[in-house]
Amino acid sequence: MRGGRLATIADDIRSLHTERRPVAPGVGSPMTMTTSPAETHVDPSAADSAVRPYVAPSGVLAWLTTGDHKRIGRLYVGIAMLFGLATAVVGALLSLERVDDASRVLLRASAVPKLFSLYHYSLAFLVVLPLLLGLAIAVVPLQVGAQGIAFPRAAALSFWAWLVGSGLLIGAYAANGGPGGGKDESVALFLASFALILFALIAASVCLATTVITGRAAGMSLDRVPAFAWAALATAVGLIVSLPVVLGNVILLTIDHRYAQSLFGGNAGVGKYIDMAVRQPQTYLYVVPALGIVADIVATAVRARQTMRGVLFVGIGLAAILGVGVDIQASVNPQIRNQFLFIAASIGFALPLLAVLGWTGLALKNGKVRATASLAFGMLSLLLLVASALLGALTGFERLGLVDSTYETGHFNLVLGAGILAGLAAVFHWWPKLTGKLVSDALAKLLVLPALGGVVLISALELVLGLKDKVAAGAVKDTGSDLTKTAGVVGFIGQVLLLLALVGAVGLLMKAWRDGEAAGDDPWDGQTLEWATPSPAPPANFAELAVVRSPEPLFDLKHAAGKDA
Amino acid sequence: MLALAPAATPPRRRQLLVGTSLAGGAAAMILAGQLALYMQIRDSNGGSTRKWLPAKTVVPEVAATTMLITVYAASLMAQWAVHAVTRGDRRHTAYALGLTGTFALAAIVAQVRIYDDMAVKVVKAPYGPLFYGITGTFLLLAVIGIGFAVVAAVRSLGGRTSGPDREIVSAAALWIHMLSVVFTFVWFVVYAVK
Repeated sequence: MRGGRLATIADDIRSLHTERRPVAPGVGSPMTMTTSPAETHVDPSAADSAVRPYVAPSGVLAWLTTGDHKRIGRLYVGIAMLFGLATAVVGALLSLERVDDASRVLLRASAVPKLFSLYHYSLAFLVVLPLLLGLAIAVVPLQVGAQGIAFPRAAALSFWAWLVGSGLLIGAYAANGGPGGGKDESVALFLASFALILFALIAASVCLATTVITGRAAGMSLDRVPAFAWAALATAVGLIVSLPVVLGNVILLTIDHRYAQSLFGGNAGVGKYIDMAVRQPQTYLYVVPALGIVADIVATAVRARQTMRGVLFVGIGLAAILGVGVDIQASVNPQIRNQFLFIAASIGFALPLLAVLGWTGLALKNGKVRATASLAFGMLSLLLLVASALLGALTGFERLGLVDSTYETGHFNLVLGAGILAGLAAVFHWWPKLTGKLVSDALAKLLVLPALGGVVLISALELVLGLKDKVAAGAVKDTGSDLTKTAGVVGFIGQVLLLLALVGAVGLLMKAWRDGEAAGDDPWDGQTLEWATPSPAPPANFAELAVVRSPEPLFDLKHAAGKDA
Repeated sequence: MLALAPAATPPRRRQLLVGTSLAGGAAAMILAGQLALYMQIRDSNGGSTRKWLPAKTVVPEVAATTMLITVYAASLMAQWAVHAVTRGDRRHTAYALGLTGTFALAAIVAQVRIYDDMAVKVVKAPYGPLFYGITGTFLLLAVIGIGFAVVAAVRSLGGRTSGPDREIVSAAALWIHMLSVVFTFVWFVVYAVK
């Protein structure tokens, strides 16, 4: 009796499993998905060894134990956006301090440099980089036709390590730590937490790069991958060769800090050996995925085959190469700033961005453009990046004395602000695919101006202040200039605008997720593979795929279907 | 219905090997950055061995060179394991991986011996923190390599030596090769040039 029941269960499970597996080559219809329920895994071997089959956890436990790249990516994006809100609050406080030059009502004098440092590390490592990497983790495997991300457990580990590291980093700052902190234990905690964050981001980069290199669908050569996948690969490789250098320094700093506190100058010296991770040109690398995001959104918006993709890919690749900056360790060896190659790289970074801008302009000119909020966010992000590259070129001229001034702070804000805009563009573009729900495009468009105004206002006066008065970076108070106060007011308004835009975006996304209109598989009439699978995509992404024969495989299929009809 | 020819089975693209090579590249960059900082700080502290090393410190060159040869031996054994697993020779794969782990362990023992012989205190800045930081990082990578070799050996002993299962042996070997390349630079900078 019992044996008969087990055999029935086993048969049921085997039939379920057969349904979800790819059909053998030559059989069945291409590029279609089976409709197995999302997030439910059934292990066929379980029936042979136990009475009850394994059923994947659901609810919160499913999120905690997930190895599904879409969920890991969404976790990265969601938490990064929340950190973005907190970082904007910190930025607003720092701007207010500029206005309040006499009485230090808001913050204690000792708190200002720590908040300044927290703002930088947070914006780079808690907001922009995880936001863009998280989007890549969620979307790129779908784009290249992979059934999942490479090393899903490592990807999940990267998220949890990043989250724990981020919490500890904030805790370290709160407990008087961070670079230049006053308490040894808290500075040690900062170093440990920063090491954890770096490890997590390196692990995520390895998973991402491996997915693009090894997980592509049949026929999808590297020159046929979507621009975002290419940008993610370029960025991941850049991060793999650059972030370990910072991690190596953190290891040495930790040993010195724990035992000697003399080689690197104790608490005060910590910043000098790691701050290249939050300075030009390394910050450029963090926003290279933005170039791919913009290119993919533009390609979808114009609904036409793209020409000159080589220019686009070379531009993105060159931007990633020129963005690898920590290896130079300019903070440790300032003389390197006078060397020809360094100056040429600083100035030359604008060239690949101009190439991408040119490609984008050509695509928009030759196609019928459908104006969406994501297109607006994306294009503005690209324009800001081009502006930041041109402005950043000035720091290559030592005679201008812009290094270590607020000019660098303004430039940092501009580059990473462009990264936030690109992140919002990507979130609005791919949210329907990740959740199956449409976000209100009209409401999303309302957020474009506040977000743009926020980034521009935060950066503009800092740039002017540095250019005109050569005010030192981090000198929030007592600079003796009326321009400083104005910069404080304008910066505060900018931070509030950006905060409002982020709050609005989070609200819109949550509302759409809970009770948004069903998106359908291909709401934007897309051309790349992620739009060939149901929304939201099931755990294994695709049941089967046709051989990819061009960079626009879905366009091929629609074209072929149109001919047949 | 959308109808193009269905895809052929995608070629296997050696995911583990590619992932290991990327992770190995990252690991190598950790030590590359540390060695660069070592040389930079050494240069800014006089640039000569006499000024750089703490007083009465003698670097045991014989032990360091023995360690280098041991790491190379581990690399050689790892390649033997790849060769054996490619031929489906389970017994030799296990021997080779066992020897790989043993040589890597011997390298760690040699490093401990060097620590003992040199008796440099970590507080002796600038040399102490850099010396222990660089060699300690290498030890950590070596321990990861041993773990990798053990996992590969256990799997091959369990009979998983065909098809995709070979890849873990190649990946473990790649990590060991990375260690030997990296240690060549560590040996040259820290023990030869000092």
